[in-house]
Amino acid sequence: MKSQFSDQQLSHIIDQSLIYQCACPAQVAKHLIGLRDLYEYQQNCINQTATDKAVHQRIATDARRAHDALEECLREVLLIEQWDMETLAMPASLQKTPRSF
Amino acid sequence: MTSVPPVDLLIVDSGAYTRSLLLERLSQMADCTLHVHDSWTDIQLAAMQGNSCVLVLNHHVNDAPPFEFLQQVKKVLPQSLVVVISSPGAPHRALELCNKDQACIDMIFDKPIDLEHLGGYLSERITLLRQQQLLNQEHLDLLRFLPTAALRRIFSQPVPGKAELFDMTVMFTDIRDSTQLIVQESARNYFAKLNRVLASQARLIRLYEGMVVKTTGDGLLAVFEGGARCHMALKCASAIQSSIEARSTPVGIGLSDGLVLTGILGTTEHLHFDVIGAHVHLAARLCSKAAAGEILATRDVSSKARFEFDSQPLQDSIVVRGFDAAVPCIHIKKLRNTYEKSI
Repeated sequence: MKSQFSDQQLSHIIDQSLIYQCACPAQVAKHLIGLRDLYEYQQNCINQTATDKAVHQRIATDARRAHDALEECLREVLLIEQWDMETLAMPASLQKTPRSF
Repeated sequence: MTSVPPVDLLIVDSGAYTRSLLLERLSQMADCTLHVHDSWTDIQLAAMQGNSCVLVLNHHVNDAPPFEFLQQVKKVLPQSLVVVISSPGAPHRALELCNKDQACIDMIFDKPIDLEHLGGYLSERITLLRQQQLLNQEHLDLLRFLPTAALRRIFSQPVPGKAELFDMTVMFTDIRDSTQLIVQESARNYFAKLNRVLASQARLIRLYEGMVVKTTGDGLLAVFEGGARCHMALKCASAIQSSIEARSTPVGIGLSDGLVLTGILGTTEHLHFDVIGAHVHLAARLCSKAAAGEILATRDVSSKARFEFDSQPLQDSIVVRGFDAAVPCIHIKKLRNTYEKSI
């Protein structure tokens, strides 16, 4: 499956968000990882009948389509939020004020 | 009332921002002392031994793999709770794979996390850890009442499967004709009577420096340890037979002496101390053969006890199920000079 973001980059986006309440890109990244897992899962399924093959092909096609759409979504969300597209660093303006310690 | 120290709560997070979020929420936890680190390299685990510890590690994909550190935590602080926050996908799978081999992580939370959910989980586990710590403290306090150093050693680390061989005198007591008693009386009355009889026996066993291992329906299993164990066990058996309770509810007693395997049986949820071995079986068989008011002991017990008997005990050789040769035994009705200790 072709991808714009590597697994490592998706994990890096998720790492920076941590909490559920302010993690839109992380949520999208999490679902992308889920779609990659789904794609990989069906690739390893055994095709014993024609029905099996059709089922797996359908899942593969739609997982790919959903993955491409969500990746594009993630790219645009990161641009809208003004993330650094080189380092994939979250802009400071999106962070809650860190507590000093 | 025993009190326990606060739990050490370690937060390890290489990201300043995410670390601050964790600190903000987890600083609200009760009964904890917070320690915040941006890396695990400067954590002195050995300094935390003795306290309960909770580690919350927020693992970033660019961090060094934490596996060796987590294994070290479980090695140095085996009772600690280890929680790892991870990105889903490959990082999560790598942690699970490591855990399968080493069992060094108690819980993995996938990011993004709900801080309230994490806080609730930790709060629950910290309460349990403190309860466990309190029980351990009370357990150590109770160890002081155990009669022998050897048994104290077993009880100091109550781990299922831990067992050691000790030389012990094993005593079984059992009420004679208990079926008749149950039929003659109401179950409630019989239960009350049984409780009185067993409580009286347990008091005497304690008095003669033995230890009750367990009740066995209508009787008790007890062990005696140390150089004078046979003497003390015989004295105790005689005191039981002379007690008021035994006069109204006759019992038979069996005694044997030798190597016995003692240890903790069960799982972490349910533990109990037990003793097993040929001499445990032999004492149980002799008990079942002893008549009402009688002590049936192996000749080995009587010779080691160095007793002067009122009248020469009846020497016998008894065939016991499970033993190839007949076992040399003595039948004792009463001992001379059974000294009365004040109860």
